[in-house]
Amino acid sequence: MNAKPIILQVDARKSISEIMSFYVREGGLLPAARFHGVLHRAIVQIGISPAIGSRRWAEALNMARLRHWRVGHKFPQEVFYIETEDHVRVIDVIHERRDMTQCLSRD
Amino acid sequence: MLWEWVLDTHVRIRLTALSNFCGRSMHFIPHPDDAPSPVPDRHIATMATLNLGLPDDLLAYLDEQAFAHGHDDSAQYVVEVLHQHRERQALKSRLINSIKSGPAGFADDQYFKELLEEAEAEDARLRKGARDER
Repeated sequence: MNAKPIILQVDARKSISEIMSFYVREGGLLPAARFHGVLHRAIVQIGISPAIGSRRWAEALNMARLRHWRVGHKFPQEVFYIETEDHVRVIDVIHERRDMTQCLSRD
Repeated sequence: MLWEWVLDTHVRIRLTALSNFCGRSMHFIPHPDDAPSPVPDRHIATMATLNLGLPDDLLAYLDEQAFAHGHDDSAQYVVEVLHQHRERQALKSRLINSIKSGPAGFADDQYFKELLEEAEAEDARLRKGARDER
């Protein structure tokens, strides 16, 4: 299986660390470890098949090639990424309801 | 409601732009005897009124779209569209800033191992802090 390597942007890395420390503070190690596992699985999945993500925001924000993929069923974060020729670049991990608008889910 | 629209040759749209979405904002009216607070109270909705001239075709389009999106009042629809626009721009600028921030490294097994170790260290630190308080 030839998976594309995943590169994290500086801000994406920061967001992931913030989410992890939020879960550690609020719920202890268990939810943080769960989020960690689910995020790992999602990122591996994105590397294997980058076309899996939705292109809904690409049109709305006029950013071609932008895709996003839900971290897991039980977590509200979405991974935003861009696929290039030889790698996948994770731009940000964003909370679906707190950071994003709900306007598109209403459309 | 429609008669509000037919004022003069221009159309008057009342935008009731709530500056915040506090649920009780509409019900909280301070008594005039109350001393005015030095800082403006965030719970009082500040509303501005905007008079907007629209050509006939745009007005027809606006009414049609407002109806299609389930608004009785076209002005409400304008407010909603403005909110949507602002939120989309906020998301877009967040993503663009992240693209500008540059690559940080590969998200490989090593990275995820370190991420979990960081969380464990923070958890241990928090537990130790809680124990010391006791």
